[in-house]
Amino acid sequence: MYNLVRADLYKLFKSKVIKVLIMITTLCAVTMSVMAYLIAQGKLDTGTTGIGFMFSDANVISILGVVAAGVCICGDFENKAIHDAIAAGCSRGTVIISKAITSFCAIAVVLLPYVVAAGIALSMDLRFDMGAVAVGFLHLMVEETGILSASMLLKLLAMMLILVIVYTAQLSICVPLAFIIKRPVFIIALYYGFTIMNVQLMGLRDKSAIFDAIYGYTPYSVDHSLLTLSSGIDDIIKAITVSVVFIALMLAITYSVFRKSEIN
Amino acid sequence: MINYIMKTSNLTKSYNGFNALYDVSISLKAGKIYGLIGENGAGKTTLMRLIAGLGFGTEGNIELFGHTGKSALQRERKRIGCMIEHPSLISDMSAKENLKFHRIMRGIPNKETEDELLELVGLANTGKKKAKNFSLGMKQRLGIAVALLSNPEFLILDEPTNGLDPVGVVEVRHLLKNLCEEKQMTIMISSHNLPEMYQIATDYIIIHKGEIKQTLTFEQLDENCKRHICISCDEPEKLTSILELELGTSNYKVMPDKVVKLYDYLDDKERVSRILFENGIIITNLAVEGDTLEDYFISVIGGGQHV
Repeated sequence: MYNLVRADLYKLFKSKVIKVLIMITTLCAVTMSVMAYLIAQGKLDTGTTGIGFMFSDANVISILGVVAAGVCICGDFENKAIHDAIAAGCSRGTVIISKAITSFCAIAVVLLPYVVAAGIALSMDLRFDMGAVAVGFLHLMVEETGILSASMLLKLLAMMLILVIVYTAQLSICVPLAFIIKRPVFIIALYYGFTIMNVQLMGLRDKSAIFDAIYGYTPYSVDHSLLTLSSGIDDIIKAITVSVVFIALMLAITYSVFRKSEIN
Repeated sequence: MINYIMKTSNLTKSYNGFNALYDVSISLKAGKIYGLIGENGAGKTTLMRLIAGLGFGTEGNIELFGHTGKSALQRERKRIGCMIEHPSLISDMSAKENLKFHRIMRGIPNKETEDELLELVGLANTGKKKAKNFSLGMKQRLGIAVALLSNPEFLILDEPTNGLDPVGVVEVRHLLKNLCEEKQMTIMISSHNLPEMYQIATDYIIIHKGEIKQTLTFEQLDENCKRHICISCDEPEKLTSILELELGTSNYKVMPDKVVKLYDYLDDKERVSRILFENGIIITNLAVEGDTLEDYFISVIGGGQHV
């Protein structure tokens, strides 16, 4: 598995797609930060928060993260790297896990500009605002102000890491989709539709306690994307546990589908 | 006891009731080049895919290097090199980068293998040219290099000379023969180019509609393709009885298209012609011929309609 992951990472960092994705997320992260700063300063109308959300990590990663995952897995069906790995004696389980690890690395790399943007923004003791639409890294920027102590800085880094894990868990649904559908365009469309449906489902949480409880045990619950430095340890552990279990479930589903499937 | 590199027993592969492979039982010995011959859709690629683990047989069994069972087959596949259908290439990478990718994937430490293989397949001077800009022949060469990366004991190549120019075809033929002779590598190769196959293979497996029609060695094929008098006439049944009664030979074969191949009297065809004429046979063709691999293949798969 180690060799497969190494080879995939070698391929990933040679790929133009990942470079383009990083460029796009860098631009989006900068735009998001500038807009949040200008809104907080009153130089930009609060009505523009909707546009600001378009550049936020939560929105951008739901598209570009899928592209990254899609390229990692679907691309390998196209160029027959998966065929070659299996013909070279790798088990299907190994192939799934290695592709998932590479995809998660790609998602983390694509998210990196937001991590850096949030880190820089928070180290500058500036105020940011994006109204009610702030989630993920944007929420961290909006909520945390003031000079951070060394221990706070460590906690901030931990929060950022957890957010990356939560996003990765959200996108892990693309792993079984990629192994079944094998076409990145369809996966991007499906996942984007799924995120829109998610927003609608959030409205149900107030109406049904059972649904609220179930939803809370998925990485799509907004609670896991609203972590701040003041979040309790139980929230942090829950976010990590839910994410890890969800990823494991997605990989198990992928294995059950792929273990006996024909590789064309 | 003969040790086989690969053995299939009653291997069947069905798709929605259609048998892509049916009851395939073949055994491959070490150090031989097996030519897998069949029409499009005969089941050549399906057989190769099952051996490579890209699909699963509906029934039957595959044995690799004396081992069978899922995990053992998986382990033994590390001793195989494959190029099935299209080569596994990353289009945005150069030839060397592609080899590096596959070398890392297989956990092969020695980097010098990359240059050696590029030299071997004639791609040493491609530099930074991306695989997407390669000709079909160059891609095939690179695919062969990838298949050879792990120094396999068993090489599976599906149409490896496809897209190669005549010089490339000769080079690949020499390369495969050398690998077979020097490294005792077993090679299974499929091709539509039957004359080319005749020059490369040491053994032949003829497959038709998913069934193995015949397996034979080069010597057996040569024997089967030996020179004969090809006779076409209006009454083939009467012709055979005349051959036996008047010419005293049973060394003939009636082909599916009713053409009779007579293996005697090759230097005395006037006598054959005269006796047939005297017995009222109307001959439409009488000529000395030798089967090519194509003719032989067609006769084995049972097709006057294929001619």
